[in-house]
Amino acid sequence: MMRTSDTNGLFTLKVDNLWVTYQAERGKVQAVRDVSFALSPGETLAFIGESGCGKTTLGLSLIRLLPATARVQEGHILFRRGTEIVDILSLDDRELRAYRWRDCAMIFQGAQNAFNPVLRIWDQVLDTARAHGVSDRRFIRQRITELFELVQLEPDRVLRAYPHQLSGGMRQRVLIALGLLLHPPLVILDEPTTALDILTQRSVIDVLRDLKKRLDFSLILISHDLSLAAELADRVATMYAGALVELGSVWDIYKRPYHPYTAGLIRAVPTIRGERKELISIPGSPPDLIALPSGCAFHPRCPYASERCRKEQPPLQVVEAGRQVACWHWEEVAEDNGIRMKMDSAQPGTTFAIPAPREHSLSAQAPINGQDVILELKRVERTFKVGRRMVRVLDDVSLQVHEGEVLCLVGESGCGKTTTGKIAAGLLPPTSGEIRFRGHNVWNSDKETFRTYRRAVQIIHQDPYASLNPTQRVSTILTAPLLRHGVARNRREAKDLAMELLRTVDLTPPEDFYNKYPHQLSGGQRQRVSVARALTVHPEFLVADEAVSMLDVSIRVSLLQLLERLRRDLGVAYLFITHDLAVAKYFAWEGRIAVMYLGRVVESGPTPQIIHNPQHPYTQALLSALPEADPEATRSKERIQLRSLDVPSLLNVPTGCAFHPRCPLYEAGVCDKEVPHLVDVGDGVQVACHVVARERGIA
Amino acid sequence: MTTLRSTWRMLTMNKVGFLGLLGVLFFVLMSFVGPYIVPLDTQTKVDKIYQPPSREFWLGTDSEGRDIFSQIVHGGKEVLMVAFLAGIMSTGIAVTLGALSALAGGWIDAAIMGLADIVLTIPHFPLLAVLAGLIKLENYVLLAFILAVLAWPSLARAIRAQVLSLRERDFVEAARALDLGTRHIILREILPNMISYIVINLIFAMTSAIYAQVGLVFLGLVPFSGKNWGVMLSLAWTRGAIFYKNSLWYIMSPVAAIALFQLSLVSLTRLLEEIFNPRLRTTV
Repeated sequence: MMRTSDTNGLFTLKVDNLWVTYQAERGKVQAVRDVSFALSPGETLAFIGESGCGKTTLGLSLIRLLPATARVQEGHILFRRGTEIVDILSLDDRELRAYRWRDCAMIFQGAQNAFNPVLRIWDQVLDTARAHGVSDRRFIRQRITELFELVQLEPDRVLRAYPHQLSGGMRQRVLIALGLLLHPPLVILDEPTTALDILTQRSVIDVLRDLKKRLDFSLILISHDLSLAAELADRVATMYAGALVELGSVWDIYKRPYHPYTAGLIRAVPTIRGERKELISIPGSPPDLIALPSGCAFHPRCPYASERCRKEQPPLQVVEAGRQVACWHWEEVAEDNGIRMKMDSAQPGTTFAIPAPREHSLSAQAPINGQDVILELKRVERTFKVGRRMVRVLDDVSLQVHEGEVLCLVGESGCGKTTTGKIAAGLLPPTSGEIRFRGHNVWNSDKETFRTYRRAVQIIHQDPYASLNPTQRVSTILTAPLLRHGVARNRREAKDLAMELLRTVDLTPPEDFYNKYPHQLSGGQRQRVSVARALTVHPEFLVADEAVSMLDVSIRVSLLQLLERLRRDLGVAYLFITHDLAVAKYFAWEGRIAVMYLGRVVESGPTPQIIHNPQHPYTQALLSALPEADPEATRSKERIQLRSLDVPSLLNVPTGCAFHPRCPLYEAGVCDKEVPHLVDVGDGVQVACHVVARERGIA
Repeated sequence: MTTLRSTWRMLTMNKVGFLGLLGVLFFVLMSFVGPYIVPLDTQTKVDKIYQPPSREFWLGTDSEGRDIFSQIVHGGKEVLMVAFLAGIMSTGIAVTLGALSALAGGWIDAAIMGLADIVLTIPHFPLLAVLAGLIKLENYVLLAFILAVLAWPSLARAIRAQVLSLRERDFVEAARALDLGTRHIILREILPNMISYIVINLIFAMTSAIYAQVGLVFLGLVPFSGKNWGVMLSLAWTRGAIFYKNSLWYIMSPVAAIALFQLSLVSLTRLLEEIFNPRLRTTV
């Protein structure tokens, strides 16, 4: 249902010219700048934008939970309670307590971890209710039971449980139920699905949509995830540098964005549907909220920017019914559909060749198996000791990566993809099985071969904040390996090479970055330094372990483009590990995807095949669960219902096919008895499923 | 010029820490250079017993009319030496054994941690008292060594835990992938991330060494070597200085010296923390 926003009509919440600042050491941080909007009853409004654009601050100010350093400079927040209108900013502590939870509930980002670990869920429900003046146990019990049923939790079991006994998705659903406990007419959700696996995320989205249908409340959704907004929102508000830059219905905005920033955000998200499309990376990064650029805050990154944009700040004006934009050139953007965003993101090629380490290189040798397979995992098994038990994290994993190829490893957390990456990089020995690098069995070879292999395979980690040593400057990080392996003969040469490397990873001008400490760089810049560091030893193979998943959308695309360029120009092959199939599709369109579930590969094949014609029920479920940044596509998608939402623990892997307790194709007596092996089903696709194999007449 | 200025900025960025640094410098100068300037007053002056501070006796006089200030100046050297030596030795032992324990693993780890447990369970003060009866603790290097041998286990455990956690970090894994070598990984990747922790613990080790030593001297378990704040305290005590109003300066002067020195050391850790942690540094 689309609802129009008539500011004169009934509203649940109305924000007028809100300004919020933080007092920082360097000066005033303008976190929210002149934000005005109205929320109708029952409406879902999504705030989108990259990190640091003021979304969370806005959410916190709506419920008056701003930290002590923050101040509301100006503005009003009006809330309608029945016939009376309450000014939230003028409430005293007692009134505020009544407003919170009864009128407005907020569920925070990462709040799955906010439970008290020593109290049962029931006690925490009780505490919450009592803190807000409801103490009738029977009433609370009845209400929470209803809500738990709505969010698909077994009330008796969950209420008795301690937080650690519930999965992340279950805890998130408990929180949503808890938020709705007192029937608030307004709920604020801050990044409700971040850090959840795809299937869990799907369950949370479905629950939210179902709740919205059954219970009447307005929802403010704060998310950097454009797919989530596309699924749930009625209206979408884009925030940039603390200000609203676009506001309109979800259908209009996704189809035809008027603000170049919105256009950039939407086009930066890969989709599952259709052919692989080139993505936009918005150049530059969000501005410093202490020293904002003159005029329109977006102009330094905007290809549409004109002289006027540099001087005058565009007001948020109504351009169509229910559509507001703050851009001097919105008509141009509307006309060419934001296409110019793309032109400016064209990247130069890499002309720079890093000299190889002086030491003898294996790659120069003729490969002994006569193929161009660069790395091969053969029947790899890996177990870890957990307490007194042995846990098998990888079971019979075989993979091959050819020269210059991308192999994507996809799966939910705990499926063993990171362990596979570490084993491929030689950082972890397998318990059994072989790792072959250009035909050499590396754990069974002489020291020299192993070291050459170790250097030829480098790893890019997920967390840009943990992958660089905080005590070393970029200069040390880059020159240490160059000097150690004789790539550079002396410090001066090392410095020159390091500068070249910084240029190669688009950290220009390199002088600006060379002497920095990691904490002085942004997440995207750190990931680039990590890539540059890996390049110092002239790798032929990179393991990228969720290398882009912690980055903002626009930065993510430019890093993917950098990695792709290295493949094209330097011939680097990748083992690209991700939980996001859309990213896999974008990055590995010409490569292959292997889907893992509980330590085994369940399906592998060329990317287009896996994405558009998945065979294994698990792959099908993953693809169907994925939300997309296109409201029509994502809402009309057919969803596969799994028989169980919970991922089994590695400590207790189901017998037979590990997927059988959740599988919609499950056949008793077959799937729970025997482990299926990968079989060829044509088109280079391999599937490990009894039912699929039988249907194809292979068995 | 610029380096000089930035060094000055770095030193003064934490006010409390900078005061601590000045305090430590003051006590070091006083104890090591002071004795050459201020002669030790050993002359009994019956007519000047328990005098309040005056121009002649800056901190008053003791039970025999001797200048307290000169005793404070001369009594610091030994206290400071033992503190520095014991601090450095115990930290050295702790870092070496803790890191070895974490990196070697297996039976070496078990042995070192077992030893640490044993040392931790021994009540230190009684042991020191017994030791003092057995060996002559006149030599302050020996005293420092004994204090160090008893003080390393808790830091060693902390170091072990830190090394175990640091070596699993992504940047250490990256260094392994880059084949930078064990030496580089220990000295350049792991150690710099613990250095502020180590230095701060060195300071705390010094403060506890001071207490242990002054305590021993005060109880008379270590033979009097004549000049020591602990000895002063002990003498003041045995002369019943706490019972007379006039003798307040006698007993409070060594107490104040010890307390101020300890306070300076503890404040200094704040500055050290900022210096060794680039994330806390405001200047580049």
